[in-house]
Amino acid sequence: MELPRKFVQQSSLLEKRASLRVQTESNSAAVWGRGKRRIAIALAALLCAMIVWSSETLFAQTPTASPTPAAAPPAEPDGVTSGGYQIHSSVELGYRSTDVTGSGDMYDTLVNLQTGPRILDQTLTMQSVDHQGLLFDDLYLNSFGWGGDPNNALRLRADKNKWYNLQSSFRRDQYFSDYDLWANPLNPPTSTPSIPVLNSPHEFATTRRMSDFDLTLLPQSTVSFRLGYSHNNMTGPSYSSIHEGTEASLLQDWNTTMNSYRMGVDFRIAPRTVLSYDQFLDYYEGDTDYQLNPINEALLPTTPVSSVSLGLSFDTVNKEPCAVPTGQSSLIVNGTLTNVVCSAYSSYLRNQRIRTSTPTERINLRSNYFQRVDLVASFSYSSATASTPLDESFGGLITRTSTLAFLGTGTADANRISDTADLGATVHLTKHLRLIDKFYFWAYRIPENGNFSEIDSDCINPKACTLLTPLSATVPTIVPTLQQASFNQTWTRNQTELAWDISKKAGARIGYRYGDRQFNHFNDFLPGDLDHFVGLEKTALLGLWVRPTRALRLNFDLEHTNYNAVFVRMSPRKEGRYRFQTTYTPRSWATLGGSINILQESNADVQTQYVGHNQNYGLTASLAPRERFGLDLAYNFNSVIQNAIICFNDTPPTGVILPFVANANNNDCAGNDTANNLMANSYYTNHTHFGMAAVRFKPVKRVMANIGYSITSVDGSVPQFNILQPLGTLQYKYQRPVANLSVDIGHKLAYNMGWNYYQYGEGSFVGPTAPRYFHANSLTESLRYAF
Amino acid sequence: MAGGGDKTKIFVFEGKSRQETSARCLSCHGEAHEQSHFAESAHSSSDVGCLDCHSPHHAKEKEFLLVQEQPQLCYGCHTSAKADFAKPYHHRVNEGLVQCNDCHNPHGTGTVRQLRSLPSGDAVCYKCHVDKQGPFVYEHVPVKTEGCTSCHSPHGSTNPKLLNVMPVNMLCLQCHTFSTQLTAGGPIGPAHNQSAKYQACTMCHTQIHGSNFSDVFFK
Repeated sequence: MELPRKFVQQSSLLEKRASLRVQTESNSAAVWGRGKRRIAIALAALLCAMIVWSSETLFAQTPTASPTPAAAPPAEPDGVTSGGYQIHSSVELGYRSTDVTGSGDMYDTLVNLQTGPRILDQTLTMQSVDHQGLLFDDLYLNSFGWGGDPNNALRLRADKNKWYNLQSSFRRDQYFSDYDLWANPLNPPTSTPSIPVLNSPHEFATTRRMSDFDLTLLPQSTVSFRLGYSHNNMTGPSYSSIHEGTEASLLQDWNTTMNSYRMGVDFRIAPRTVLSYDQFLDYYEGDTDYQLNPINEALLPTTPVSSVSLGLSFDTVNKEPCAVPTGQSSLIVNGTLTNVVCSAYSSYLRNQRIRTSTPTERINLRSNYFQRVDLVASFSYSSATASTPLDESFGGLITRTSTLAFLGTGTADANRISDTADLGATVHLTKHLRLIDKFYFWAYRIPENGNFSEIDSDCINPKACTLLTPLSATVPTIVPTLQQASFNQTWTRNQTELAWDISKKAGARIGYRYGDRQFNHFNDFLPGDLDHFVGLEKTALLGLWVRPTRALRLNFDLEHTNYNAVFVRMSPRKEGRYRFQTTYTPRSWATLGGSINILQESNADVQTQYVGHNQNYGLTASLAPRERFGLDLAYNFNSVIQNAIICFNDTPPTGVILPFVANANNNDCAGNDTANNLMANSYYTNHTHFGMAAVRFKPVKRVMANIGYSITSVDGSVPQFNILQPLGTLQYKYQRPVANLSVDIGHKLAYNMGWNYYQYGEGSFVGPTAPRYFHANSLTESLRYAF
Repeated sequence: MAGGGDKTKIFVFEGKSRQETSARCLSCHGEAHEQSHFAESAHSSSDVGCLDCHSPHHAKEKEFLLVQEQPQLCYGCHTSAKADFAKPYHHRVNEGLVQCNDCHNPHGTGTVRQLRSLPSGDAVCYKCHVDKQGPFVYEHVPVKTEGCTSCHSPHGSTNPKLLNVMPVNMLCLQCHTFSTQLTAGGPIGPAHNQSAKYQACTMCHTQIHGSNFSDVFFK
């Protein structure tokens, strides 16, 4: 029975992706002129086309996204001088072929580099020789990933001295996510029928397109102006689920858009003093719709024939979606449902149209007017207004309430009003001593209103309510929901440091940070219905830096924080951050680095006993003793733990002993939470080793080669709550060898070839789903033309 | 000088401290909003100056005259970030889609970790993840009060969705357990048999970042 869902789901995603591929591949058939000037003109024309149209169909992708070293960059070409500009340009065209063995979904989740022609990289720079360019003095354009890779971007900068400065970018991210344990109900094999969920019920295949434009006019004048616009649009198929009796799979047709507008003005009101005013407007449109994805369907014994979807969870022993009736061998026999008193869906639809408007004003002052004082201050006020109607309908059966259908309507409104202020001042007490103060204030309140009405069609006779009961045998029940709530937070923070440059070779700083956070949560605005929290933060700060020689540099930072209260259980009462970094450059061709980052957290509350850390130790070496040989090495060890007491409810199947459950104390939680009577100290341990080695060598004058290897090895442990629960991402190896070859074939052309290998393998059992192991070869051949 | 100029008026970077050279650069560039917090920045306090990242005359990168392209330039000191972005689940920094300075301002900000924030004070994460910002009728309050990093590792993670902890139900249970330490007792846990189903809480509680229609984040 998993085939229908798999077919429906995969076919829709594949169709979408195939359509994208056809679009991008057809667009990659660009024709390039042979002359230098012609290429520059072609690139400029292409740039104009992209700016004007901003058409994502022009962009497919392909960063030279090798996770390990790419081929060494070629020497800077001479460029050409034309029209008063010094022009450099390059373009790299190629073809990638990919071969995947194992889980293609997992490969797409982690890598997603597919077969096809690509414009791997393109760069154009134009610099006015005499700063007398007509439209611009400098232009920089770079893009990569055209033709079908998951990530591609275009970045453009242009400026005309004293007149304008333009920065813009377009980025596209194809996001595919199908880690099959994600939101997987782990359907047991003891169910009849047994229907494992082979893909993540929350699979994503969406595309996010982001454009940013920022233009500064008269940047060096007494009064300058700034204009900006950003566009963020995410669309594509994805899947979600809904719980109404049992869990239905939903097609989540994602469609969200944010348009952001910015305008500002800078006034130079005094020497080295600028006063700015900015106006922002963000407008969000959330048009994601949800409809039933009819998986695990079964026929109803009706005439004419109809069917229902039984949803994701299939565990008939635990009556999910219902039990096998006495005398039947399975819940589904010959495609027909044997138990018609079963939670199931014949239809589900939910539409929403979220509209959020967020205007924000900001005023900012920055000044070095006084020789010994650096000052920066800003204040912003923002008021967001969101609203959406509810339009929801359900058909099927919810056995718990004997509901055959419901219709949801109403409106939801929420606001967020925030004030933000920051003030930074650095007072140079002496040439070597500075007093630094940073003040930060952020206050917001979020009043919320929901006014909904659900009209349920409940069976007149609940005991006789089945999937065959006609709607005429139901009575409408109106369930109103009136939600009025609000929460607000006020956060004030001040940090003071004294920095002392002892000499050019050493310095130190010591400081203190004080924070005050107040949080109020009002429910329904009734007297006494109020949560009020006050949390104080006290942090000691210490920093040291030493440069005993020009080649060696060492930094050490420490932050030690005490909080008098926490807002949520897993927030620390004590927190320590320790960071050590060093770089050593004994020769111009050798750089060695090391770092230690330690974060320690704890909350000794007897009911929490939270202990956590994130420790990171790293070493790097970059050696290039000869022009023809280079070596890069890196190793990193990351240890993460997060342990705390939890209360939970767990009854393993008969005969199954789960150590974590068996050893839990079955009384300590019951006093406060009777539904979760088991108490135990939960633990999450993750040890991650990362290693990387890459060799770069030049066997002959025109040939450059790279060979590299990287591995991420994860080992960890967590409690096992469910006998079907594998360790999954707590135990795996992810290996990525790589090899690159670049051959200078003359006439400003280079032939590049890159081979990437990816292998992902988990160490524990797979679980009741599809295996996630894969390995893949990806070969990219390209020609690069540069002048 | 041969041309008759006064050589002493030429600022010579050689031999100067980071503070001195940075002050020289900022005498012009300090007026820009982007560089306005440099004096209070962690970089400045750690003796990282303008010339550690920029080279006015010998830049290898034409963009911003950087001595090296991002993210390799940042990885030179922040080696743990390099390992984080090599994890299977990561923001696409190595791939070039996202740059370090999209989230951090290396010249300093008004907040900690040199993190950028939106003009409204909200986390920079919402610039891309626009659907998570709200406001919602039913806010999952810790998302707003504690921030995204209470559940996610923004650089990279060994877990899907950049989660700090897997499986999801344990991540949830660690907060959703009764505690008298919290004024209202805190959120109690779910009454679901962990052995029966509900392996991942988000299978039902799909709108966990905030919902407009469901107080238990179902829709």
